[in-house]
Amino acid sequence: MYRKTALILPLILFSFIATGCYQVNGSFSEIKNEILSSTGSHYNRDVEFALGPVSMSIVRTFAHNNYEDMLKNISGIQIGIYKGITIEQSNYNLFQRINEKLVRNGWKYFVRETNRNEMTLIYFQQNSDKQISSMFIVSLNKEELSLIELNGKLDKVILAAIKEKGTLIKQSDI
Amino acid sequence: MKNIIKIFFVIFIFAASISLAQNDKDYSKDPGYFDFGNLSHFIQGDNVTEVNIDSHLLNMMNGSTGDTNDDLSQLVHGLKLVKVYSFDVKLKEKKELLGKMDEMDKSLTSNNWDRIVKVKEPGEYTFVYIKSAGNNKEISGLVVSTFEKDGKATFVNIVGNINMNAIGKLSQKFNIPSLDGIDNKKDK
Repeated sequence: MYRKTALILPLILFSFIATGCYQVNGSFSEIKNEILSSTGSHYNRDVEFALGPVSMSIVRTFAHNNYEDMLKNISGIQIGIYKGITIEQSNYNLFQRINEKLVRNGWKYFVRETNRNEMTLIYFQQNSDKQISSMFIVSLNKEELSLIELNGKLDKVILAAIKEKGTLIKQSDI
Repeated sequence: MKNIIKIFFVIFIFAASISLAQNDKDYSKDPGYFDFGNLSHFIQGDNVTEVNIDSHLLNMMNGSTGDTNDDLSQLVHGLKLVKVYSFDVKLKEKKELLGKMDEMDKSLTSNNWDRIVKVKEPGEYTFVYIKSAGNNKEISGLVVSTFEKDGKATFVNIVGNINMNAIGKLSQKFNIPSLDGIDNKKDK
C-alpha cells in the first residue's frame, strides 16, 4: 500500500507539472491585469486556462481530424475570456499602454486596430530561424475581453488562418 | 584562464549582436521604402489601424500552396513589406497634417519617386507615388497618402516588386484602405 502511494504521488505530481495546467502567466497576465484594471472591476471570468506541451498532446488525441494538422504545430495555449467589461468612450490610452508593454516584452505587431467600441491586436514573436514561435491576440469589445497566446511552430497555423480569412480579422473570427 | 573566459565571452556577445543585427531586416535601405516619420502626434484615438507585414510572412504566404498561379501567391509575389497607418485626425491638427503631406510630396518627388495621382480638393487630399526599379519596367515601391473629408488619414507603403494590376485585390485581401480607387483616380 505504502509502495503504491509512493509511486502514484510522484506520478500525479509529475503529470500536473508536465501538463502545464497552471494559471496564465508572462505577457498574458501582464496584459490581462492592465486591461482589467482599466475597464472596471466588475468583470466575470468566463474562461481562463493554460495548456502546456503534454496537455496539448492529450487534446490532439481527442481532436477532430480537421484540426489535427493545426494542433500538432501548437505546443502551448493560454486563453482567457472575461465578460462584463466596461470600456471607455476612447480607449486610445489603453491601446498605447498595451502596445508599449508588448513591444517592451519583445513582441512585434502584425495588425493592431482600435475604434470607439472595440480593439484588436495581433502580435507575434520569432525564433532564431525567423519562424513565428508565439502569437498573442487581444480582442476587446463592449461585451467581453478575449486574450489568446499560442506557442509552437505557428507559421503553418497562421498561414492557414490567413488563407482562410485574409488579414481582415474581426472579433467574430477569434 | 579567467582572461580566456572573458575574451570568449566578449567574442560571443559580439557574434551574437552581429547575428541579431543580420536577422532583423532593415528595409530602410530598400529603394521602395519610405519613412513616414512619427505620425502619433496627429492621431485622435478613436479609429486607428496599423498593419505591418514583413517579408517572412509574405514569403510564407507566397510559398504556401506551391502553386504560383494561386491568387494569393500572385498577389504577394516579390513583396517585402506592407505597412499601413490609418487614423482619425484631430480637427486642430488637420492643417498641420496637410502640410506634412506636402512635405512628404516634396521629399518623395525629389528622391525620384513618380507621382501618378495627385488629387487636391477642398477637404480631401490623395497622393500616389511609385518607385521604378533600375530597368524602369518594374515597380519597387508604392506610397499612398490620403486625407478624407471625414477626417481620416491613411498612409501606405508597399516595398518590393509590385504588380500594379493586383493592387485592388491586394487591398481587399489585406484590408488596406485607399488602394481600391487607384486605377480610377489615375484616369482623372
